[in-house]
Amino acid sequence: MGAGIFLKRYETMGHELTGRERTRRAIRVNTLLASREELEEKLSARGVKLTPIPWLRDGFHAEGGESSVGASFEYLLGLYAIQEAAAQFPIEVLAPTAGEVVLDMCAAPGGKTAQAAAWMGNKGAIVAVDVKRDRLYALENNLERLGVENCVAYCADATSLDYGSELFDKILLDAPCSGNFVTDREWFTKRDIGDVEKNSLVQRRLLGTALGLLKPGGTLVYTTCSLEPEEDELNVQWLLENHDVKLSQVDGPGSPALMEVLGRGLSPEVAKCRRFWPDETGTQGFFVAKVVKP
Amino acid sequence: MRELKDFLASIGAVYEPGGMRMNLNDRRFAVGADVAAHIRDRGRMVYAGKLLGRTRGEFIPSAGLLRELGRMQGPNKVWVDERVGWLFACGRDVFGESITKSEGELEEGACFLVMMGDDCLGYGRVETRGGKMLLKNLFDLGDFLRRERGLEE
Repeated sequence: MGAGIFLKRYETMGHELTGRERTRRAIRVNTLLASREELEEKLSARGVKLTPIPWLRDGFHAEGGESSVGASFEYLLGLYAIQEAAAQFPIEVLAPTAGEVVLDMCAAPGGKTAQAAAWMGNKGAIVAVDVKRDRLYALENNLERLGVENCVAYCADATSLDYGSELFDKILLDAPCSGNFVTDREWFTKRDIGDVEKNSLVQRRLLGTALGLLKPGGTLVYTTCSLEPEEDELNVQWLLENHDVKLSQVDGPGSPALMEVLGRGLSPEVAKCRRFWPDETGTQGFFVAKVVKP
Repeated sequence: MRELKDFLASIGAVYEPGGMRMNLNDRRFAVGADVAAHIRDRGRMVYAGKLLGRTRGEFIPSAGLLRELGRMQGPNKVWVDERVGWLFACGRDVFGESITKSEGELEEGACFLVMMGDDCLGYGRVETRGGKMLLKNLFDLGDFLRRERGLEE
């Protein structure tokens, strides 16, 4: 389909993107095993300059250094995770705490699962689910390397997840999506609008399942790394029209979500969600909604 | 978990993991009460709590177990500098002359944790090759990179 149709869409949403936007290398201090100060000191000694990302608790941009940040002693020892800046934001919004029971519905490769464990200080429980066994190997490696001890992981289809009578305090639904061109140079040649529409239907099934598994008063954070409104604002609008939920304000970088997309006006509530445009945030494209079940 | 006991004995460590023991294929876990209370479907479970290690012929300790043992007094340990530490993390053996300090008897067949400062990088077994003592690499943290490479291919 090519870049044109997508870039034109983004232009109608107010963003003249080039298709060549890239993200900066970012890491997350694994507070289960290291403090920010300790990691800064160790990586600084290797010539890596860490710059705090102001809207993240544990995130840094990493520049310089003789060797790759993916192949250092500190990496092998689990003192940090390589995690793109926008991808660190959903857990900041979910803000899981020690003792809570959290469901991570599409968890592999486990970067956000491990981040949640760090926020929880390895206390409480995380139930992590992913349907793809091959991707779960990466999750297992991450849990081991990063010292996560409060997680049970399953290979299961989250669209039909049955967890008995158990309900969760908090749920992260980082839904499978079309992705975006910032982190995938071949993206424009791989994607078309048909993919976007198909993903949107799966995402709605996941959202419905998630709400059924959430405690009354519980919080669901829905995120995608897609810039396509079918997977973002239109899914949240669908949620408001079909389920008894409320949205909470998501503050942070980027812009409020769109209230008019593809010629359709949406509920003003939708603007409480957050949209990361690569030209604004210097990150990949991202969307975050915080949903509360009354 | 006989394999775990044998491994601990081989490095001279006394250690009792807390929580419920659980086996998943060749992996051994210790699962705390908070997590155990939320296990529902063991058939589909792929990971739970703290990974202690894997049994592949002999017990291969997890990174988490090595981390704990490295902090303890008692287990056999050798220390190496950063250059040798990196070679070890790349799968190489440690020659006797590269060991800067040791705790425990460096006798044939004994196992030692390989330390760089306060950090445990893996472990190995004392062997003699060509009349020279070396620590044969049995597991090192570079395994994470090798696994990641395997997943990408």
